[in-house]
Amino acid sequence: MRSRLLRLADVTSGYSGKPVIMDVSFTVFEGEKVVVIGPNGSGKSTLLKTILMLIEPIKGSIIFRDVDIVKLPKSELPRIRVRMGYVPQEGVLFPHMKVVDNVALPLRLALKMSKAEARKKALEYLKLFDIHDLAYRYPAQLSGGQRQKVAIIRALALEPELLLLDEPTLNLDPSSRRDVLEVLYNVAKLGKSMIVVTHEMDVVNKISDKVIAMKSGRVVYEGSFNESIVKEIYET
Amino acid sequence: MTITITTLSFSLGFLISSTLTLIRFFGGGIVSIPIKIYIDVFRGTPLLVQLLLIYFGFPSIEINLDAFTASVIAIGLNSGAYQAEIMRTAIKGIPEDQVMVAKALGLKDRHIYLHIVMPQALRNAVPGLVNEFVMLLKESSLASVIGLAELTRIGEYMMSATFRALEAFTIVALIYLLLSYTFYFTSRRVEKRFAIPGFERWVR
Repeated sequence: MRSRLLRLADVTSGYSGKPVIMDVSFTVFEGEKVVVIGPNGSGKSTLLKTILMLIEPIKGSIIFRDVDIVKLPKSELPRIRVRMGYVPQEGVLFPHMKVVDNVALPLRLALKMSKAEARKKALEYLKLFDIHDLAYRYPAQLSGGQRQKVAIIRALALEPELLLLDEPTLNLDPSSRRDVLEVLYNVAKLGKSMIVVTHEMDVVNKISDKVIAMKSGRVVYEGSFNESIVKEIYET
Repeated sequence: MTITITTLSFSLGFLISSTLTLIRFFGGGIVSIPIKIYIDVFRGTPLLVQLLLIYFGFPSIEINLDAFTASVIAIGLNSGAYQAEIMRTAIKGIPEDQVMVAKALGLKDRHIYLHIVMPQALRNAVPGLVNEFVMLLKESSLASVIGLAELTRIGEYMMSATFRALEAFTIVALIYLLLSYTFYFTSRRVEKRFAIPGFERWVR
């Protein structure tokens, strides 16, 4: 049996005491790709932010490897977070830094690489995904799809044990969307454990080992992909 | 003398506002209360009154300052309050996502402050700070009241020596204008030099 990477047990979380997700429990195994679906406002993004402890859960535990990260002191959290690569909605690059520095900065600061080492690794990763020609541009000079790709690479370069992606194709035009999906599928092939929040049934079809469906802050389905579930949560 | 006072008090103000910004960022809600009081007091009272208070009032509590030091301290404290507000707005202009994502990528708070918040906030603050500097250039004329021989005071000397008030103060005004204009011009060039895509909104 594969080892357990992440386990959520009865997690309730939200903003200023108001729960957005309630009693969420599920497990992610090593190498498993979990796709989270559900209508807007069902708590999918909050779920990812809670796993990263960007939002402190109101109750429940989040066991990463063998550690309940909810109980960790705040000062320990950066070291945990860097082991989970996060790709936020719409990428969110640091606008005052060139692409290569966007990728290199966390390597340097969170993984303590030297400036030269971090840059070298950043360039290698950009090359791997064939966008090294963008390395010396600023985020404002990129398209939405390019920004999203850089954000994926920024997370991936940290060589995280788990990758968290929040609606990677949100607000993209069709061709950028295809580009980003291609990157996503290539990343999936690397065998990394992933949690992907998306509305794209194509993603669910192609990469999901497990589907988690959320509605009004609760997990309403956990299992393999089937059409009737999708119908049920989006249409009722 | 005008340039010296302006530069020194601007620097003092910058030092104060940077410190306050740092404290505000890392401190909780409690530390922000005295900071808010400082800002409100110095922005809510006339600079002239602050200057007179420090120069004429402080000796009665055994703090004797010469006109120059009193001017730099008064104008610097006053500017610190304004600059702190400029920095606050500049930081507010940074989308919250930026800090959240930096955190998510494993950056510590001090890294986030140094590498994400400050570089963006300072760029946002440049137009405000440039304005503030020019304001100080003009406000330093208040130091003439306590007898400091800065530009406006020199105008007064010229007037009493020649009895030509119109000419004397026209010259003084022109010099102020020239100074402001030179500073605006240089700072615009510096801004252009350091402009990066996405941050060029104030570069015309």
